[in-house]
Amino acid sequence: MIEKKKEDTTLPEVRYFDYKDIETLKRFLNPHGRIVGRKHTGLRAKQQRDLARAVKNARFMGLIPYVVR
Amino acid sequence: MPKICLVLRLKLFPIQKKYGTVRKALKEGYIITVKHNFMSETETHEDKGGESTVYELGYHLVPSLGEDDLALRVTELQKAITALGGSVISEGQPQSTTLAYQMRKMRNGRWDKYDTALFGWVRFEAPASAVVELKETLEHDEYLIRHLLIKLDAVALAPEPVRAPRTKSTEVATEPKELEKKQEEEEGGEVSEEELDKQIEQLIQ
Repeated sequence: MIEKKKEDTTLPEVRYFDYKDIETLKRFLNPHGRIVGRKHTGLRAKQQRDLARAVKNARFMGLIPYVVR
Repeated sequence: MPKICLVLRLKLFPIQKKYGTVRKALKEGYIITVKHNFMSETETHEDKGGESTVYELGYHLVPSLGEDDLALRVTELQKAITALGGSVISEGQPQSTTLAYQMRKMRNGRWDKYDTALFGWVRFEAPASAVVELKETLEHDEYLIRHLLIKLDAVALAPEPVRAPRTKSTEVATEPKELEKKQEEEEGGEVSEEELDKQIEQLIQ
């Protein structure tokens, strides 16, 4: 049986992912500091790419850890 | 009423191959323009070097700086930007932040290690050539532990949109659209087939 995808209702309303906005980015990281996949974030493909870019920038700038043990 | 403009790029799609779709589009009342030389378009895109784009520079300054020194460093950064033909749009004053991991920087022949830093950012507009030079100066800056220079797109610069509250029932919203579509289809049927063929021939020429 094919389940119908939920539309819009689960989408988080982030328009632009800023690498400085750590609080927003942390919503999309798991406890180990890894980026959560699209399946769970419910983001559009472009948004997910922007998110990944922002997280990587934030990691480089030492605002977010690369790994949490 | 002219609808959306359908642009055909002849280098990519020879018009003969797309005859069916062109015919259909004409029938539906689209206006078709043909670009014979697709390559010239990409050339003009490269010429944009002179125009200025908006960038954001994030930086970590050495935490040992005093208040006066800090202000001096910030103004010097701004000077470096304006001297290269850029203009500062907005900025965030450096604030002490604890780093997620230890960073190190070579100063006076040895590695200095940092657990905290003063993080600030500047948004500025500058031509592409200036940014190349700016990167060079930033890399040799003694007091910068780390920096990040990113280009900002239109989405980042646009103000936060004010949204109207959502309507509860979606049925009301969809109905008029469907009606419009039906009307458009009816209107499209009025164009005779001979005219369509003529229009396509003109496009090929």
